[in-house]
Amino acid sequence: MAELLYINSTLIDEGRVTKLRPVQEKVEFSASQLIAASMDVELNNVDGFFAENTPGGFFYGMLWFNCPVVIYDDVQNIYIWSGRLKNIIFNLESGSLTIRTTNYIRDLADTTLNYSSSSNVTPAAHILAILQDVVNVPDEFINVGSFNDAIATQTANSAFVNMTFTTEKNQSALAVVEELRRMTQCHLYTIDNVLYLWQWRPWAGEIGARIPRRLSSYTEQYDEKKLINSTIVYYDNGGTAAKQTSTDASSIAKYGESSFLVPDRDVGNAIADYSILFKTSAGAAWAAALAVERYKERPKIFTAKYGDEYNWIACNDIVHLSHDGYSMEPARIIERSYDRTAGEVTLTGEFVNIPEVYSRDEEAPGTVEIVGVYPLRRGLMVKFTSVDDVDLAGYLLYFTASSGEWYAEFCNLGQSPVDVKNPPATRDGYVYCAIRELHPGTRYSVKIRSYDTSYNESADSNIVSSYVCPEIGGENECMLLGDPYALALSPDVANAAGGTVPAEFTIYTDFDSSEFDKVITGIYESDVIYSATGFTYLDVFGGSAAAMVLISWRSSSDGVTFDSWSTPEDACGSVRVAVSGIYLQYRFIYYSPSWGSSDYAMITQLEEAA
Amino acid sequence: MSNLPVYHNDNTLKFEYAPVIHKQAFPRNAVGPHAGLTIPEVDYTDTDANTIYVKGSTGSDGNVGTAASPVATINYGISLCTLLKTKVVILDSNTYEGELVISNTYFQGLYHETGFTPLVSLRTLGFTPSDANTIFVAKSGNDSTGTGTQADPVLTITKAITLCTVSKQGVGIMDSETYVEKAFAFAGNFLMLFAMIGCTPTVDITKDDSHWTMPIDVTETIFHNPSTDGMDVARLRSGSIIIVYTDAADSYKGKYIILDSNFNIIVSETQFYGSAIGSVKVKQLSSGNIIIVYNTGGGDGYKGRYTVLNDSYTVLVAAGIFHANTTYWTAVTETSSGKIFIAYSDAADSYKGKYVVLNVDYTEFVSETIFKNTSNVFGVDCDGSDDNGVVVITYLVGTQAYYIGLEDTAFSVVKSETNFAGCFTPAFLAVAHIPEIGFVLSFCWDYASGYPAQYMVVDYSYNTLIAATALKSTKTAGIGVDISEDGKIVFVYIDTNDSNKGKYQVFNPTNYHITVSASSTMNGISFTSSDRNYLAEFIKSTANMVLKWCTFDGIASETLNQTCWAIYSDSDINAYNCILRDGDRGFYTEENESIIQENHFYRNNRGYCIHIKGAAASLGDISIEHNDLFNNYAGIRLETNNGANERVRNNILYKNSNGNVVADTDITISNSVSVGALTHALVGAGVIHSNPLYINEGGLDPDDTDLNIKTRVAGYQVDSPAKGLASDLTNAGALDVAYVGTETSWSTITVQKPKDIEISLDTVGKGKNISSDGTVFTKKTGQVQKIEITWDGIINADLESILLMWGQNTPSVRAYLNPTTSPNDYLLCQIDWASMKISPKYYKLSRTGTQGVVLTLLRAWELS
Repeated sequence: MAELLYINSTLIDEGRVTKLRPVQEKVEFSASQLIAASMDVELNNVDGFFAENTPGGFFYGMLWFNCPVVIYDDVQNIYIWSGRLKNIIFNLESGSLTIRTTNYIRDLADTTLNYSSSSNVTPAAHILAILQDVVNVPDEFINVGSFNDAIATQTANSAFVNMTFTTEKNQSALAVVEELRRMTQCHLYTIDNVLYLWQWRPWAGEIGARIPRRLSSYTEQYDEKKLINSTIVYYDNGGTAAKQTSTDASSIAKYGESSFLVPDRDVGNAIADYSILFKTSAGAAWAAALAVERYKERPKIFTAKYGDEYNWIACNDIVHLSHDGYSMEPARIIERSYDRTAGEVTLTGEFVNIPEVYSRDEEAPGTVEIVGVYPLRRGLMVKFTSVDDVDLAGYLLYFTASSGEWYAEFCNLGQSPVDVKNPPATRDGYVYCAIRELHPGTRYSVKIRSYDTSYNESADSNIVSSYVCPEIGGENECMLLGDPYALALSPDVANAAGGTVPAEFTIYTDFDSSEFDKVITGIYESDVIYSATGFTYLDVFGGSAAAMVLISWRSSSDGVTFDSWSTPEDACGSVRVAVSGIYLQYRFIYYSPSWGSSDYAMITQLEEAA
Repeated sequence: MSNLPVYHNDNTLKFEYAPVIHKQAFPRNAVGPHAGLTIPEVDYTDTDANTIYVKGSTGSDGNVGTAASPVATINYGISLCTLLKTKVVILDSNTYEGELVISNTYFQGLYHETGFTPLVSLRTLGFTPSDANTIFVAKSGNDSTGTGTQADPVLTITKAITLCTVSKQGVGIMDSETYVEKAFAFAGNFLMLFAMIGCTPTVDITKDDSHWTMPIDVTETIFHNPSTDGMDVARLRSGSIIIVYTDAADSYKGKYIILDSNFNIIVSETQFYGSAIGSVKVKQLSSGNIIIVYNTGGGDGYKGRYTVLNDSYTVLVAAGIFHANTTYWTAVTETSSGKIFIAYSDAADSYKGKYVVLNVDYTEFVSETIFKNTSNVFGVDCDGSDDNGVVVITYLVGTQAYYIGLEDTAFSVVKSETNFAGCFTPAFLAVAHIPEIGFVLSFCWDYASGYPAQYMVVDYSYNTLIAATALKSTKTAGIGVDISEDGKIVFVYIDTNDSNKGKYQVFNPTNYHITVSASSTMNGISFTSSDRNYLAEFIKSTANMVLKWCTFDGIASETLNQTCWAIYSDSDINAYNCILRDGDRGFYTEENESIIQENHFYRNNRGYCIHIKGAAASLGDISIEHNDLFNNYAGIRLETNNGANERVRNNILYKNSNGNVVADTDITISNSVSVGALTHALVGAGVIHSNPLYINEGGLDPDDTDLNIKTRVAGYQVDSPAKGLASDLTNAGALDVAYVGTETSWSTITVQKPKDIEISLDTVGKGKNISSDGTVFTKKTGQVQKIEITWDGIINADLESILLMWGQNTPSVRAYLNPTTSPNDYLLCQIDWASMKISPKYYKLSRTGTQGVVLTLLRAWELS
């Protein structure tokens, strides 16, 4: 089930709905452009289920006018329609019933405002009061937190207004809200039918969602209608109207004068003639300056279609375009339209830093080089070079089992790409990240991008691949600490209980005993690892003391029957061990009557045949 | 072209589809009072092969974690998890305390064995409460008979405090109920208040009337420089203030000025009566009109008159008469029913105390009535109606001050004449009603003797809240008083020591709740207050405090424009895992050491969340780490700080309207999410200016606020920038989580492999422009691989399997094209949903199968 119809909080059986007009979610950024809509729902009433005059009928005895009608998407958990019932239309010939509903914005437009206030109340608070107290929009459809933010900003600037609207003035609530919004550069919009108010403020560098790709459509243009470089805002100067002004000479020289008046017509000096009037000179000055700051340049607008993966982006979100020649170019979403059927979201955004007023960091951090990708049981260990940019934030690790699809695989850290911040260092001076819960025996490719605190991304690293261990098993670690690929294997006195001693060895736990010259003090046997083309070399890096750590290996063609272990070779220093076989297992054997910190060994490369 | 699929003659195709993510954000710590984690009952077959077992009652952390040899602690159990042993199961009903250390990435879940009910509390006490060290409180307790033991608790914290001893310095609450308690003090032997593990009590503090203070808000200011005589002040509903006075330098004419709520003059000196007047008083009526009462001079026969202005200060009534005979002291107020109550001293009748009541149209409602039938009733003032519907008249007889209270509809005496204790031999008297508190009474001693004005505050029963206190040190006269819209007390007076100038002072009556005068600890308590009029400091501390897992909820003054600190201290504030929300402002201390760690501050609307005035002597002495400061008026203030030694890192600072950090000396913040202004705060490593992507900001319903961060591993579409950002490799902000759960699971089908699998490549974003000279420009942005699988014939069972996959709404599919030959090789694709034909060519075949079934898969393709 997806779309549930509720009339007066009663769920209507899905089978009753014969026609539900598709609702296009479209939210815009200005009260005058908000949906002021009605919606008809056609219902099956052949059996008189919805009868108004028959006892037992759905509408029998119900005060249905203005009762709530909600359509709720229980898959995405959003309200796709919320309004009030205005009419019920019975078609007795066809046996259908059409219910006509309007949403709360429609109510705003239909309500004649009777509202006065002379207290220290901001325009944002007036808008909230009109929505709550005049239009009676339920609290669950108002994001009060967003209003409070605007109220706080306006209060800090003493932007209080007197309001005098009587029924005789015959002003719709929507028109008044629009004027309150206009005079303070606020934006009223909806997300999932919930009303938000946002007090405009210049973009200050905050980072939003990075959008690296789009679908087929993209346009951009300048908004010719929005230009303000000269403002006059009136206020109550102790009983007479006075004005505050603001101009931007540069903008006037560039585009010609474009005025902004509050109120939007000449009213005169008599206070009584003003329906809305700033109470303080400070508030009027703030509003006058804000309008110029907001629109002294014509805004540049883009519209583009994006895939379903961006359907979570909402109105007023900051996004950063990183396609069509842009690199993290910030824009604020001012319109959003979601085609649920096609899985496409159309976003219209206003560039917030064109022309540039906020100096941005556009320099990508350094490119990563993957040094090695090593097989783990149900996972991979990726070793790579760190990036030393001072503003480095982290790394994005992409992985895939089918080349080309870099955004779909899952691991224990989430869906590709996974965000890796502060990766730990390997013993040999690189950094690493282990990803787990991969498919056993499958070959995965890995690439990495670094990104900085401005979310600039580097170019792709080299792409390196490896098979995840095929789950044949065999890993055994005794008296050792660490791992063979990142931290190296070192003796671990405290781990005496761990691991199993192979039958051919004896492990001595008294490491400092002088009774033995060459005693085995630790053993590591790797998991069985796999390469479809076969392995050719193991590169080993061991501690400085000769013959303290030895390496041995064995191979198999089927992962079941193995050849004998090879003669152990000294793993001291950088050693290349020639190996063979598509299934391989290796072993480190630690000899030391008295060991030190240099007694370690690790695999630095697993080389496969081409 | 090595990445093109290779086909083998396998008999089947395998598809995995409908992936389900099982990861969830598992808490490592908690903020605020915390009842304990709800952990699920084991829902899989647990064995030693797949599970680490914990049994606090008998286990040991040296054990291997099998059922026969369990470990003792959850953290040790988690540390033992391996690739094969990924879950931890608790085998008893013990209580497990402490933050969880989940760094082992093999750990996939914590469960309890069937039949047990362990409590996992992320809150700790650090000691074991017992009858030997704690006085216990519970709603089942009894203050009369209870001894304060666990078995016999008392009912109230107040009572428990009285039972504290040198060996029992803690008070422990044993349930999760609400305790409404009068403000108490941490002092003597009462040094700790805590909730027992598993309990989340609320402590609702009410006012202690011995905690009133009266700091100056506006120091003495001249409003009329020439010589001034009688005066009064009244608040206007616009928030402004009107001061009426007799201009002694201008033939004692009646004049007024208007000040806005910030005490800026918005209407300069304006005359309302052009001849000499005296004893002027003013009040704004609920109609908005402003009434000024006064007596006139000899030229008018010393009548009692009134002038009425509308709220635009236009004169409506120039000089109405309320007493046609010789009048002395006058006073005016409005009753709850909108009547105008005028009290005066009738000079034509031996200066008896009288009143008249006028209707809203200024016609007489109650004719002249005596309220004090003696001679020489002076210094009359009145105010009301108060919260109890009583008009209070104050007056002098001789050198003694009195008041009476009149019920405000029939004006019968409901409070008989009472002498004001502590009001010494006054000469001038003024009274104002302080809403929900009582009255402020101001008076000047004998004018000729040259003593300063005093004030005192009394409650509705006229008990003294603030004893008589000098307004200033030199002599004054002609005093008037009223309460501003934001609860401040405005005094106007003649400064007889300064050429009789007209002046005013503004005071801010405040109260504080809990006091701390000895080092104290609070743990697991949700503090609130339903009694917040004039509240300025919820906790007033002069000693070190440790707060753990406490909440300060809605600690905001209910008095307009007054702000309240949750804690105001001159000593260390060490706050861990606390929540401060929906209040005015947070912690203030004047101290060189404090640790604020793992706390939530949100929706505090009137000041800084953290204000530390002090310089850290050593690195970290002042440490603000792992906090969320979200949606507040302002974030962190470091005043007179050192710069190098204060540590501010690993925080989320977001939507704080007036800046995130303001320091006096440059500090460096690091490893934080910060959106907002920074003043003397340099951006160090790992600072991201981005929306932290909280799960729920609480905009729609504040109760739903969830400051956990969104991450893709937990199923959200985006990763919060705070994820893994902290210097200790955890998330920035207060809440630390581990993403725990089993791996993503897929549903599987295997079907017969058709002979026809068609692969094609197509371009994405292709374009072609051919110029007029024939030059060709083409482009593309990517390529897509299409895999079209056509079954010429397919049995019904396989078709149903395909339809099961096709019918899902999740498009991701792992396609194993050679499941026998290459069982581990798959292509990750998306289903290209199109119409699917599912009928056979001949209906008779429909029992066994169908023909011409086509499944199309798409995937991005690139050269490897």
